[in-house]
Amino acid sequence: MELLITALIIAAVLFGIGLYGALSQTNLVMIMMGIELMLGAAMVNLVAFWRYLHPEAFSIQMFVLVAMTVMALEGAVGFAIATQRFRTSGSVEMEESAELKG
Amino acid sequence: MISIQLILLIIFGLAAIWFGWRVFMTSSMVRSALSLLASMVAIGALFLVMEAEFLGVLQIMMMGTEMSIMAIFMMMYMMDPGGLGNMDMTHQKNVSIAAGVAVTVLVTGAAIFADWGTIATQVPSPHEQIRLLGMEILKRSMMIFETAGVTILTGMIASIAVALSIKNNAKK
Amino acid sequence: MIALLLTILGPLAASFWITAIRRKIGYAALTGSLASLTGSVLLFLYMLEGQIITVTFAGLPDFPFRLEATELSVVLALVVSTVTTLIFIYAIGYMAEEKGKLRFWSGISLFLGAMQLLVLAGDWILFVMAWEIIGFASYLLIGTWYWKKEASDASNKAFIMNRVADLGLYIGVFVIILTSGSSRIAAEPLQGISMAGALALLLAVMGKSAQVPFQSWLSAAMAGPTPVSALLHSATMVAAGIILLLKAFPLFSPDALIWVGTVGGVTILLTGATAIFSEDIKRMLAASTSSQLGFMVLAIGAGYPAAAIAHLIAHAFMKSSLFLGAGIFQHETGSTKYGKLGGAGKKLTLTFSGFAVAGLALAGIPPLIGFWSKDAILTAGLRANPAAWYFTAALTGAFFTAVYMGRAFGILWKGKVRPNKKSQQRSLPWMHTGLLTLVTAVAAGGLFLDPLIEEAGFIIPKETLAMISGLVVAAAGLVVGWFATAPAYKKRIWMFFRDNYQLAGGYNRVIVQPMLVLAKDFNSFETSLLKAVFGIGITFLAIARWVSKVIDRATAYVIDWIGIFNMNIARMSSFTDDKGIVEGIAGLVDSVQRLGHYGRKIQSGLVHRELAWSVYGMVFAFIIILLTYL
Repeated sequence: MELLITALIIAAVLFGIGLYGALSQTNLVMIMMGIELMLGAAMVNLVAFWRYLHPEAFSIQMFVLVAMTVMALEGAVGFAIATQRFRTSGSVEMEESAELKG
Repeated sequence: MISIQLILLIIFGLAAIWFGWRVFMTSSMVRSALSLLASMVAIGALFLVMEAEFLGVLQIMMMGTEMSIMAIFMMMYMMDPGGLGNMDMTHQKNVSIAAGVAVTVLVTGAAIFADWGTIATQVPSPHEQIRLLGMEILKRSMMIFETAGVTILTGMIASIAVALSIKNNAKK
Repeated sequence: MIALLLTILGPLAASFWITAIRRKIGYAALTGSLASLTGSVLLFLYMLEGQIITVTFAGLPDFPFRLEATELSVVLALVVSTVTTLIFIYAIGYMAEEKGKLRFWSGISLFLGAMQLLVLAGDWILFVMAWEIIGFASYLLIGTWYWKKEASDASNKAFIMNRVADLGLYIGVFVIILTSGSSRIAAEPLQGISMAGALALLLAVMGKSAQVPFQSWLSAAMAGPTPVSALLHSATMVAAGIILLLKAFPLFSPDALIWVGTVGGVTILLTGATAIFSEDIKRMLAASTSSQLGFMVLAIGAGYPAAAIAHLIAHAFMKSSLFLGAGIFQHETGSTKYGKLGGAGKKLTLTFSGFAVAGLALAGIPPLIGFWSKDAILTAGLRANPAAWYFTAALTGAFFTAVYMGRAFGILWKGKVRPNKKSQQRSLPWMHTGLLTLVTAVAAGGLFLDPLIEEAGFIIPKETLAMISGLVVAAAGLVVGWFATAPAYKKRIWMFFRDNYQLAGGYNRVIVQPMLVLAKDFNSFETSLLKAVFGIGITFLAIARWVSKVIDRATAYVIDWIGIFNMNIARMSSFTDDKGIVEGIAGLVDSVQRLGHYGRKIQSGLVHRELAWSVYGMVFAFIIILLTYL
């Protein structure tokens, strides 16, 4: 039980840090880093559940694989957007990107 | 009861947390990228500790590659990659702190006060794990895996499409 | 059957021809009359063989009409048709120069047909119908020259007086039918009628036969043409009353007969006096007719209808001859007044001789027909119950008759011969023919009278005392009359006699004026009644108008109110629509817009802000889940 709870707490803290970062950073890349952290925390959670609650259910591990895939994809697409943003406006600072206002 | 696993869990957990914290505390871009790498690696170590060998290895390998690329991108797009400018590049700090703390507290509360049932003790061997995972992928989760494959393909095409330069190659 | 039809329908057809075709009217009438004569001769022959012809045809329910050719009826029919034919011959000449031919000829043919119907009637209802028709024909004929006021007044007077008296006939016939149960004229009835019925019939006789007090219409009726006077008002129509008495004679009780006799006697005397004092030849003859009819009524009242029949037949021939003669005198001198007629007899000798013969017969000189008939009446008077009264009256009457006839002779013969204007050579032969034939009948009839009456089923009474006294009286009277030709007895009392005894102002004052006043009163009453009814009607109309106006206003008001009410509802509804729904929707739209606007504000476009929002939402969802699990 303690193992599980410890793991979960670790994951919670990681998630919180990631959320803080995603909300407070101005740079797109930094925001993405925060998101990556959050996803990692989620994965930790998942693995903890697998290990301590259902070790026979490998669909959990499948889930983790999918999450990992998502991480990678999100990174790829995000960086593609950042590249295009950088080309058009010269920086990737989210503070200035208010074109979608209103 | 304090077991090896617990100690290792705590150690690697703390490491992940500290490195994660460090990501957003430094002003140097490279250092935050490398911190993130370290955090990811620590998470992978956590996986290993929790006897999900395949996942752990996968995590470490993948994250290693990804963080490296991120570092490169950071250097491309960041204003102050070296972090020597000492600017506070954050906004809505209060909100974000509050959000982070709140979420942590909530999840922790959920983790502590939830009734998790019996804790499993037996875990298949790594050999067995891989075999079962493979069976899982190819039997039950075939659809998921295929979908994931298609999604990856879509993502690749999308990212390439987005990143194309319109100005230079208008006719492409 | 054919004879009956000929007798009655012949002249009726002639009348119809005259009215419809209007050609050869005089000869058509004569043909009709000859047809009637033929018919009656045939009937007479049948009767001599002993046949009584009866024809029954449909009439009222329970009262069929019947024509019955009894002995008396046949004889009377023969007399009527003979006299009429001869008068028609005369009239062709008389009316040749006069106006009003169409009316005259059609009327007189109608009269003949109706008279024959009356004579041959076998039931009371046909009798009454024929009575009415001859009254109507008399009205038409007296008014032949209707443009003269005298003539139209006279025809009105005659008709009205006859009508008043006809009430008696209706009551009497009603009583007869009630008593006997059928309308048949019975020769031997089972029971007589009451006094009231008898008096009612007597009233009718008094009217039709110009008895007192109904005698004044006959004098006035002389305003008609002379043939009319000759036929209707001497021989036939006035004789209808006598015929009524004859047919109803079996029904009269002895008490009723006394009344009859009294009326006859009074008439004889009063009208005889009028005739003596007349200054107009036709009026004298009219009064004489009343007097002679009085003789007949007296005879019936005495209980000897045979005498009445004899005098009826004799009088028919005599009086018509006298009238025809008077007519010729009138044509010659242009007037009927004694003043103008002086000496006319000497000029028109042929006419005068005929006139004289008839006049002597009337006075009662044998062997003329008049002697025999007057003698019969005197005998009847002798043999009657109140013999003294009846005989005296009859004898006095005979005296009077002789007096006025003598007077007429005297005036006509004596006097200066006036130069005449023109003599009508053309029409004289016709007139003479008619006149002289009649006179011949007068002269020779004495021989035939007895057998004729016997054939009729009656026997004439004869008495020596009557004969002698009659002769004496006649001779005396003629002499007195001859010398009493002084004209214009202007004393009041003679005028009283002459003008038909105007008592209390005469009919005009006693009856006519009050009736007119009464009529005026009724008229004004009815007018006021009408006005009242109109007033009611107008009041109701006004009420209706007022009601309709009120209703109109009320309806308009209600409808207006309903309309305005609906309008108000509509306004309210539109108002609520506007303010309520539209405003509501507008408000809704506005709020949505504002929401959107507010929402827009949230859309900062900044990534971190958006992220923050998603975190808020996530936290919120998390709390919800926690709560549900808890």
